[in-house]
Amino acid sequence: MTAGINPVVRDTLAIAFGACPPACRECVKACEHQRSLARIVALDLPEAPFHGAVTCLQCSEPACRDACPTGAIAQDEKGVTRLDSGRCVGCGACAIACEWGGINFDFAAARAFKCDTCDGRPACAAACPTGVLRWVESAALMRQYREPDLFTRGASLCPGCVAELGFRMAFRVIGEDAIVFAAPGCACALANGFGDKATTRLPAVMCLMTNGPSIMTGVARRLRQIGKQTRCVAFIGDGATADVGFQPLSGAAERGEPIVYICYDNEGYMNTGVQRSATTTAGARTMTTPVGPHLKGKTQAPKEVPLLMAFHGAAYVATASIAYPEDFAAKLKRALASNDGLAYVHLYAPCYVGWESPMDSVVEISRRAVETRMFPLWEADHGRFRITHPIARPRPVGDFTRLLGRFRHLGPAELDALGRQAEDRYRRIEALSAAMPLAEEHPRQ
Amino acid sequence: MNPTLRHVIVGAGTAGIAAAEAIRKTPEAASITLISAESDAPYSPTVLPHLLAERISQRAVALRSAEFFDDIRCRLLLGRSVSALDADRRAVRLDDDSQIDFDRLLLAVGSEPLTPALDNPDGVRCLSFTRMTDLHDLRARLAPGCRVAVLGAGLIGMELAEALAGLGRGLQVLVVEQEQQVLPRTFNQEIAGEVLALFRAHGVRFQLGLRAVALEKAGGAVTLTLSDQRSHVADLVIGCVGVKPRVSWLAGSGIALGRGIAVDARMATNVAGVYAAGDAAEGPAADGSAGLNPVLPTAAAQGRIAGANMAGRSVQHDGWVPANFFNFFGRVAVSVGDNSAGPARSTVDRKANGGRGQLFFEGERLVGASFLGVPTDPGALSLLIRRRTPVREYAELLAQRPLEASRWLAARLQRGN
Ligand SMILES: Cc1cc2nc3c(=O)[nH]c(=O)nc-3n(C[C@H](O)[C@H](O)[C@H](O)COP(=O)(O)OP(=O)(O)OC[C@H]3O[C@@H](n4cnc5c(N)ncnc54)[C@H](O)[C@@H]3O)c2cc1C
Repeated sequence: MTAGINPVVRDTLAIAFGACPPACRECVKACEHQRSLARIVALDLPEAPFHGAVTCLQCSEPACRDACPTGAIAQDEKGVTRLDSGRCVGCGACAIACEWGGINFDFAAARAFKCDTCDGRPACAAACPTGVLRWVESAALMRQYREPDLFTRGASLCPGCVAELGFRMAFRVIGEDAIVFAAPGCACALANGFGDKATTRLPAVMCLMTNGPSIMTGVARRLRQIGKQTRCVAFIGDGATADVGFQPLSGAAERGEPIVYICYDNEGYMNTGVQRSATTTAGARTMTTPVGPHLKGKTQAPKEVPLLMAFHGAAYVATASIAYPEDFAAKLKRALASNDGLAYVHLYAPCYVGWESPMDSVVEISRRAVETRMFPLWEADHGRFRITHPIARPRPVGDFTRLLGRFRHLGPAELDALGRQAEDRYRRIEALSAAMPLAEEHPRQ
Repeated sequence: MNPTLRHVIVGAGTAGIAAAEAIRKTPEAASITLISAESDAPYSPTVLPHLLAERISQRAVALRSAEFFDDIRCRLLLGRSVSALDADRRAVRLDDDSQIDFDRLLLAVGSEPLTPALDNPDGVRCLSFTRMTDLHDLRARLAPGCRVAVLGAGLIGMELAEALAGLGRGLQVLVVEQEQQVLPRTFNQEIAGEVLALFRAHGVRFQLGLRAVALEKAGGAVTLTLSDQRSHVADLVIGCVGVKPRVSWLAGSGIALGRGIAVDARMATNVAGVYAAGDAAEGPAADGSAGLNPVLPTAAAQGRIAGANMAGRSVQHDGWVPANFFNFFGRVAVSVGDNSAGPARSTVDRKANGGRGQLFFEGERLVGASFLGVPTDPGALSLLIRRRTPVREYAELLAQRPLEASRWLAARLQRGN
């Protein structure tokens, strides 16, 4: 039972870390009610000050299970790690092995115990009055889109690259009836192959940085002529999208070409050594916006390409983040469904090399960008707007910049300015959503 | 990668099983053979005191079910002892002289008890307590009213003494320890003193600061002489003076040996394709030194790392931190990191909530912590110590509310705040 499961594919108790109101113990009470001894612990530390909750995160490779000397801890077929207290000897090895606060100890009975997600209906999340605890049912969706992976293993992108994750994910959702269009940039390695080896099972067209949407226009029109449903889908970086390639994209949107254009935005020219692009965040250090006595990173604010696309009256425009895969998948579905014009999806794609962060940090960076309002998640359908993941209480922008070496030089004043830019960005979308709301929610796929 | 890569794992304990599972987690097809010298279903020696104390039944201690090994397509060879390694021909030899070829080999053979250095002219049987056979032996001899002398007040000796004391049946338990305190190197004197009082209150007698020097037959019983030349009568003597890696059979095999099998952070030995993990391995500690840390969490982590690397991934162990968890007579004692007071160190020592907590800092950094009778989170504390986290400003909070504060600080660290 342990061997076959893919633990990544599971539902999750999402906890907004440290977002609890002081002295709220509703989750603990609910858990006690359900299980007598609470498996979730309220970290109510006014001294810190900090107010949050922790419980087991249901690790994909649970260290507690590996350390248990009696096999009392096992992962079930849904990826939930369960502790059979009848087999527990109370040795505490699990509590040492777990560095995430997931194991609790019953002193009276000398047994360890832990969260089992109430079999997929966690009482704590149901009782949470603030939305800090949420039960996220992504398993079904992730399972649905796990196969087929239309690209081979071992691409030459950096391990942990969002462009690669996003590319693979996008075509799992889009499916095989598509032609990929790529342009020079990091991710084109997935479409191009290496040497004489193909890396994709899809037909792929390698464009120039300046003509992707033009080539797509011709191919899409011909496909229509001959009555084919095959979709033309671009997966192209921000340099080719926002800088030299913007004119043909703008033209295709204005003409209403029925193509899907996904821009992965890593905010620069990463495969040529990290030069700034039009979408690079203000203040960021790049090769061409260095930090020294005269310059302190990029001085201009980023070009907001998704908004510009929405103002073309494009059939569908959305921003997406790899940290919110359900949202990304749903938006891809809507992009495919809108056949009456250009659909544009802007995928936030942190580059840990260029942004100066650890290899395994890109998902967290993506999440923080959303939580700090640096990168709002929204969609627009023919010029009508909707925020798809509202952020009621944004985290301070420092929680985001702290993760990235390229912002290390920013002082409090610059951070404030960056925070204001994020606020403006979010408010702009909020105002548009209020003034021109995208009323009815699209049916979920 | 070669689809028929043969993985052979010697030792079916915590480290060996974690490795087998990690190998199977990778997408590569490979064969896995797991060998144990014992014929018992794979178990951990950690369960011995709990079996003795009858806290758990023999049926409930298998590390994994029989189906598990089928599920991960792992061939399990029980009761087969590996006697030699031929690194050049890439084969291990079993006790019946048969050979098993390997492409990748893991040495997860665990440890064996150190023999107490004693003058023992009559060849008195000194038991040990590290394998299932030892438990059977002990049970067979443990008559009601038995006088038991436990040599050594380390982790194993204290767990054994606690189990014996809880059995009742008129057993009389004496623990001899050459240091001035119980659990030396795990706790400092103050907390060790409280543990000692707890044991005494449960009728266990101690002789501290004395070594056992001689054993002699005295009728049906044994006379145990200590370094103060005084004698004690016992019916059973059990040596718990420590364990050492089970590596003597590897001498001359070409595998580099220190105190254990020398491995790097990938758990690789000096011989390509041969790895070691668990009690047998001398691997990196979090502070960069290399050493032995014969406990479960380390065996599990090292096994997982070894298995992943054997199957072609490249992962490194971030180093072990000493950590121990005890439950003595219903009172939990936890020790993490280095609990010694040095000149460059500051200590916070608090009695709170009916228990006691001690924190050891070097500058701003937490380097050690121990708690007795207070809920805490040893995993969170390990993380703070491993990552050399500056948390001195929260010392008071950590001492007063160790569970919540350590979890908060660890969670903050995990989330990069
Ligand atoms: C009494 C006692 C109590 C303990 N309590 C705790 C505790 O509370 N917490 C804690 O963290 N740790 C505790 N430990 C330590 C813990 O049990 C060990 O650290 C852990 O079991 C080591 O795992 P391992 O996989 O390295 O070795 P083991 O689990 O010992 O497995 C070794 C395996 O190797 C096999 N083997 C050995 N030689 C050969 C050979 N030549 N050929 C084939 N097979 C061979 C054995 O049969 C066995 O299957 C305790 C140990 C003892 C003895």
